Amino acid sequence: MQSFQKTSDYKLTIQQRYIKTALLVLAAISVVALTFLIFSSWVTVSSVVLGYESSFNLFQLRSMVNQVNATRDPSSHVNPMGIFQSRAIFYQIWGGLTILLMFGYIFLIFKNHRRSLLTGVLAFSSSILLTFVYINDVFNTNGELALRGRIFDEHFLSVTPIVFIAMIFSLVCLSVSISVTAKYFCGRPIPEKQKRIYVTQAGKKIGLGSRFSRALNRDKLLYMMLLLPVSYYILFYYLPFDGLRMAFYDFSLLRGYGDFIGLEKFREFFMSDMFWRVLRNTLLLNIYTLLWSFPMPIILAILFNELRNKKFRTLAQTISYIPHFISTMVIAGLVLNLLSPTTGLINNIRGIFGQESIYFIMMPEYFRTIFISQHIWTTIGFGSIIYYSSLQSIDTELYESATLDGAGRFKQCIYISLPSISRTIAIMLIMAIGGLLASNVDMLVLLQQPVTHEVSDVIGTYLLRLSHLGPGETLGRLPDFSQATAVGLFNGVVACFLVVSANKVSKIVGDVSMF
Amino acid sequence: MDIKRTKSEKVFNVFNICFMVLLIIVTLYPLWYVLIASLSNPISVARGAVRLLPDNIELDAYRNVFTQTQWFDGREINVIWTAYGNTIIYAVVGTAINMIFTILAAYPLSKMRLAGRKIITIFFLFFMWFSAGMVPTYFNFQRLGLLDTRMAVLLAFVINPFFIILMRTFFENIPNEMEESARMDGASDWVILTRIYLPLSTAAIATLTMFYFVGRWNAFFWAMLLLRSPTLVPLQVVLRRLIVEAQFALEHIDIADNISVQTLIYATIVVAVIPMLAFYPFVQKFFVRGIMVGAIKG
Repeated sequence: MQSFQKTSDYKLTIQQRYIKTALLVLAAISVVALTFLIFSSWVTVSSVVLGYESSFNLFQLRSMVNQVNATRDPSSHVNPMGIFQSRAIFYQIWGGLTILLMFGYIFLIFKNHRRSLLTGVLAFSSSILLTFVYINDVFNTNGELALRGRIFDEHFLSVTPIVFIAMIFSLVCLSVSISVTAKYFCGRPIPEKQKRIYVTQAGKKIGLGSRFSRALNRDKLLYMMLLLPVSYYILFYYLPFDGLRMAFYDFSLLRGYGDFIGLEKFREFFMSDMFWRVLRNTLLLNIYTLLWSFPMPIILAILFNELRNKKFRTLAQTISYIPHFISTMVIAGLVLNLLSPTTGLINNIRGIFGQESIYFIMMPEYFRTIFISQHIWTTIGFGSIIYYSSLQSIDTELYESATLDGAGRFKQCIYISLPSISRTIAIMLIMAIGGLLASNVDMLVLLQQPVTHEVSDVIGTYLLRLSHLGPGETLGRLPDFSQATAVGLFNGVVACFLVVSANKVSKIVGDVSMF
Repeated sequence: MDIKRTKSEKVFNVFNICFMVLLIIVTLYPLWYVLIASLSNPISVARGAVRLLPDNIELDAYRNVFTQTQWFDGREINVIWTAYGNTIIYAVVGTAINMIFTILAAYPLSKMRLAGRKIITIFFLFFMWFSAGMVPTYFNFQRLGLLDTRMAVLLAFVINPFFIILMRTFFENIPNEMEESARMDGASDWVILTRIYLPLSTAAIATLTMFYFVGRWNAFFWAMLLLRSPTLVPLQVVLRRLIVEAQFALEHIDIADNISVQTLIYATIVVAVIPMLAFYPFVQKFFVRGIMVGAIKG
């Protein structure tokens, strides 16, 4: 097997093509697996596909555990989950080994070692096998249906994190290997870094300290200019980091910092039913918003581009940007008004056709639709600017020659317009994926009502209710600042990881970086 | 070149124009409906008689919007005008602060010779990726004694690191010879910035000012968290009570008694939106240009 090398030419050998195909297949599989994981929450695919009577659903696992434990007969000594007791050590060793293999794989791939591929295959197959064995054990203890009437004992709970860590690790490794391969196949050659040597006129080397003092002396004024923004950042962005201690201490407003409790607040959050609900809502709301509202500006930009009447086009464009300038608050007000069951426009129109009026905003099943519709309404026009401007830069000769070849307008859109702006689309998509966890908390907090919390409660709004900082109703107990900080920290870390890796990928794919 | 128009092309054109007309209607009609409903008699609105034009025009709703008062601290204050005043202060002063900070950060960073340029850039960008979170930030404001003060809103989140980068890129594109020749004449960095760089970058400055201004005008989230006194809150926070909460309350009370509340809400929306939309035709092209600058740079 050939070792990975940074090559400047784009020609691939047959072997390299095989690797590329294999990695693409792997990526596709992982995407499918992730989608399955997320969508299983309501489709319960597993019950259909796998034929189990009760579906295995990661998002409801914890609440199942609670339910089952609540109904457990304390006098019963039978423990059907006993299999995890005997296999706990086996799982721990295997999980540990898998994680080690993953570490080794990452290490080797960055060193361009020729064994990296072998290690990668070993590590991935090991983690996939581990996952399968684990799921098999969960479903099939003593050959019965697993989740009905099972007792989730502490051994099961001690094994689960290891398997999950190994799964998450393999996903991380997968993304690393995809990005490395992408860089290898699509990336531009990276120029060798030249080391700068600083010398005086006499040819003597200058040390770091004296170099810095020289620079300071030369650019005094520039540094003084920077002083204001930097001190601002320290005061308003850096100082709050001290408050992160709240997540690890028993904090209350009256007593201040109490005992050190470590990760207790995190555990409490991860183990609560709330965790799955807010995580699922955050992901689903964002994924749906992405699916529906991401393609709209692209379609609109292409349609703008196809309009031949220039005056009409300018008019349409100008009007379509308007919603961007209307504040979140007013849009929320508009939505609530137009959907009002008594006086709202929509229900008025329904009334004409003899339909009963519906209190849309109080119905969980309409919430996502409402949220996504207002998002499309707000962003479609302004989002199209960026695509429209890259459509403008396409050479008109391309269209002319396509017309000569007999391509209609629709075919021109598909074969010329879309491919020409594909890079812009890719970058915007990656950026959108990077922002997957930063949902519109300000809009949600205005639109949601306790009735719709089941679908509208995301991490940000849950945090507001937990800490009583928000305007709406609270959780009905004292504000828990420690847990709110822990929730915020978790969200921040994951969001940061997403943004940074999205940026990395867009740098590789499009040679463009946001920062 | 004579392009033959085929049948499919005609169909495409018709479809396209229909779509655009639909888009215009969908965008404008909600706003138009709010306007005509606010001008109409409340009973007509409740009956659903208001469709395309106002029915039984009356201006009571507007009179009510502007005369709403609230007791605070022993004084009677006019809700809307106080909030409007606050918003104007926050938007104008706040935008000025934003621009000063952004330029002061962007100009030094645009100089390749600056030692530690990369580290300082990363320092700025780091907080764009990762911040301490809502609760610690709130407590930080409390510690600095800024809760429920004007300064809190003026100073909260004034810089967008992304705009620093935009401004920096713009400065970098100004040829270096300008600076060198000015330096020959004995100009300091400060003089070079104010006399050469700023006049040369009015387009970028105008664009960023517009972005910041609209952001300031429409911002409500942190103002909502940080301010409690009704004398300090900006328009958007007041709107929350007047539009959103009023709407939810409206559904739970007898409609016959409160029929005029609906038009009051519509009138409030109109009053809140008018300045931005009046301002919009003049600044629209700045926005488009700004977005394109951003698009080219990445």
